[in-house]
Amino acid sequence: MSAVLAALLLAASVRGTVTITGKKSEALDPSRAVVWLEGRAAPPAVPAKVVMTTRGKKFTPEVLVLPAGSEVLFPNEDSIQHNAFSSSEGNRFDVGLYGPGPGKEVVMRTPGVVRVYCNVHPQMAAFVIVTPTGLAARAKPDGTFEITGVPPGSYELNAWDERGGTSTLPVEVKPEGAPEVSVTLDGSRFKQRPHLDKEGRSYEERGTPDYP
Amino acid sequence: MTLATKFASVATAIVAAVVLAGIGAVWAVMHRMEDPELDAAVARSHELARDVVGQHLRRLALIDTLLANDPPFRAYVTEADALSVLDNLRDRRELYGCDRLIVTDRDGRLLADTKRPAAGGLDLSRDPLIAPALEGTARSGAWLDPAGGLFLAASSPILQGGRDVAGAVVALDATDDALALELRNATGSEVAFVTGSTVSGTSIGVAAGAAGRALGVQPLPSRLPLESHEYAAGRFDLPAIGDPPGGALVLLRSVERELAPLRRVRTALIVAGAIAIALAIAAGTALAGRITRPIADLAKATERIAQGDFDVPLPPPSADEVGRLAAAFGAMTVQLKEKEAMDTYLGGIVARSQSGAGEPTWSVVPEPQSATPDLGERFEARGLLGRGATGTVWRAYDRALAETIALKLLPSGSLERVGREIRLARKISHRNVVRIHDLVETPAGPAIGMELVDGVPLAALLGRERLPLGAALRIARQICDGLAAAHAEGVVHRDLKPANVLVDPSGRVKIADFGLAELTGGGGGKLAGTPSYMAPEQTTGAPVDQRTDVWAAGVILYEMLCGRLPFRDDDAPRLYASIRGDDPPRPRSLVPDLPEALEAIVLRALAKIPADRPGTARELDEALVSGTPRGVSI
Repeated sequence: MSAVLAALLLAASVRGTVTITGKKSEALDPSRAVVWLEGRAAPPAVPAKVVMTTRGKKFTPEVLVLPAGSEVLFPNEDSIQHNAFSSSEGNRFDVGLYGPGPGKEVVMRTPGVVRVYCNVHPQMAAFVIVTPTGLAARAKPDGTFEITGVPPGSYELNAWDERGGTSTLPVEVKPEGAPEVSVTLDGSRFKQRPHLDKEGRSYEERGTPDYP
Repeated sequence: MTLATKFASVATAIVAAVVLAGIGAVWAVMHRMEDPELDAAVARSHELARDVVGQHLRRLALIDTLLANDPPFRAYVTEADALSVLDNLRDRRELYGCDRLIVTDRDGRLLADTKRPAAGGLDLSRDPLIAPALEGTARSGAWLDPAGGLFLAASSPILQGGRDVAGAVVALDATDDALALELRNATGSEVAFVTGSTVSGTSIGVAAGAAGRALGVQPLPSRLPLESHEYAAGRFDLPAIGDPPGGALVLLRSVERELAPLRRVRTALIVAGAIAIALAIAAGTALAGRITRPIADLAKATERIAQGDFDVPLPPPSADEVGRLAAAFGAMTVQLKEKEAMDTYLGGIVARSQSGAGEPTWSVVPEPQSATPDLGERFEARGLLGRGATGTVWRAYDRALAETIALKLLPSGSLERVGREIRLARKISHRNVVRIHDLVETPAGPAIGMELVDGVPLAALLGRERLPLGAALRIARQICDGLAAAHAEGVVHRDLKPANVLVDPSGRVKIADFGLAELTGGGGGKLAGTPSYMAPEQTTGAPVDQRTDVWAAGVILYEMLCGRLPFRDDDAPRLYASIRGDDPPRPRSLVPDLPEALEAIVLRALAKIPADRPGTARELDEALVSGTPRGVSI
């Protein structure tokens, strides 16, 4: 208990900047990037309850970052029926068609990127990043981030963005703090591809006689 | 109107008639082609339009299938979740690009309509489009919305679990201006969609107003004037869903554009025709001018000659008829010219003789005034015409024949010497021989009644100067003609000389005194003839024949051309010797510009040996013709 307390008392912040470069080396919007720390010194994750609302045929927020074991609620604020599902390995789920209301809850058990879609509306897409620790943050619109409460120790800093993928670099955190971290994700090879529905079919073709 | 104008007009008229007839025939054929061409164009457009409409209907049916087979959508319909259905329809309408989507529940009540979101609950179960779908059958065709509007529509059942009908879905395309334009692009025709007489969409923007209403007229005229254009029109029913058909397609084909190729050909034809006629006029005028110019020139020349101007240029010689006419006319003109020259010449001589200014031409042999002889009952002397070696010639009136003649009184007893020859000479009847009528006895002695010639002896024309070439040749040729006629009767003159050759004022030559040579005093009565004109054979008393006359003609010709005798001597024996032995002076030494051929002819006629002369007077005449220089008429 004292060790934990000591660790909290000694905790520092890790600050830095995420940069995402596009095809012409231009800087892309970094606000949907996520960073988290992994390391033996990390305190155990505390599961949380987080809401991903369906509103105006959109998931809000579109990016969630939460420690493994957390619960995500999918309330529907639209007047029409929606759906939320994911085919991402380790966190497959399907809440079925559901009308307006508080919706269902899904526990995200496995660390990783969970892609969440609506089986009715192909334009609806969201990401839930499930981290092994609670040391995580979303980048601000200017790309800066701050992970607070980091006990001193050796960590791996992970940065992820839909376009740039994941990048990892070591970070040494001392009681007096850590040096500023700068991460660059290469988004130049990213191509937006239409995703498939929960049966693994193209949304556009699934009504044709070949897809009964 | 000139000949050239006539030719050109006729040629042009013929070409124009042929060209116009040709154009008219082609025009008529083309005109008959117009209507079938237009109708065929409209029919072709209809086939294309039908294809496009069919494609639309198949696409709409596919949209139905996509929707009916979409699990979440099917779930919405099954649950009759109108809001979700409508929202989904809106998304799908965007995605598939159709104009309108309608969904009913299994009872045919309207669940969602992208065009009329608020019309939910409307009962469509009896609609010809919906009813079959609710029974599991897809339908497509032109659909008349009970709420208004003509659509291309396809309906399809929404099946639940593969069997139960959960509802019906309908995909629709409006028959609006956009669809009309699409059809226009596919068919090249103007397009209108009509229901009854209402136009729902057109490619020419006339849906409203009188022009638009004209498209809905039934029956539609096959030719339709619209907005200052004329169209070939056709109205065709769209694929029907119910009965009667829901709508129709009006196709308009621009007459002007459709017939443009035909009309271009027609215009080209007219232009070509006009050019052909213009060329025909030009060519006809040029050709006519070219052909008729010599004729015109000839006409002009003739007019001038008629006015007495002989010095006119004639058209150049050519082988055609005009050329021959010109040549003949030219020859005639030269003859006229020579004749005029001769007339003028003779007229001058006659005038001088009549005025007494010169030597009286009649008195070839000077003679004192003779007393009027007693010519008996039948004849009355009316003046002395002349006197020669053979006797005096009187103008006499023949009471028996009531005719004035020439009567030549012969010395008494001469009739015995010349009677036979006179009777022979009497047979000669030729325009160049003085005709002998009769041998008569008068109180004044024997006489010969002859044709009275109103002229002068050639002797009167000679002696001063040579005759003009043309006049000389004309006289010579006539002498030859007359001699030839006499020789043909077996009569040789033997005393041919200028005094025996009478020339009348028109240039006609008549030889007188045939058969009287015996009376002409030569040497001791043995030599008949006049010394200066005697042939060598006469001077020796050798036999004479027609070539003796040829010699005399040669002497006369020499005298006419050179203005002097070939042999001259006052002493008869010396003259005879000269005739027999001397060459006469060459004519060209006296008259340098005399043609060589003529000189040769003259000298040949004066050959010492008869055999060297032209054999006959006819031969001499022919030589004169061929030896006459070009441009001299004889």
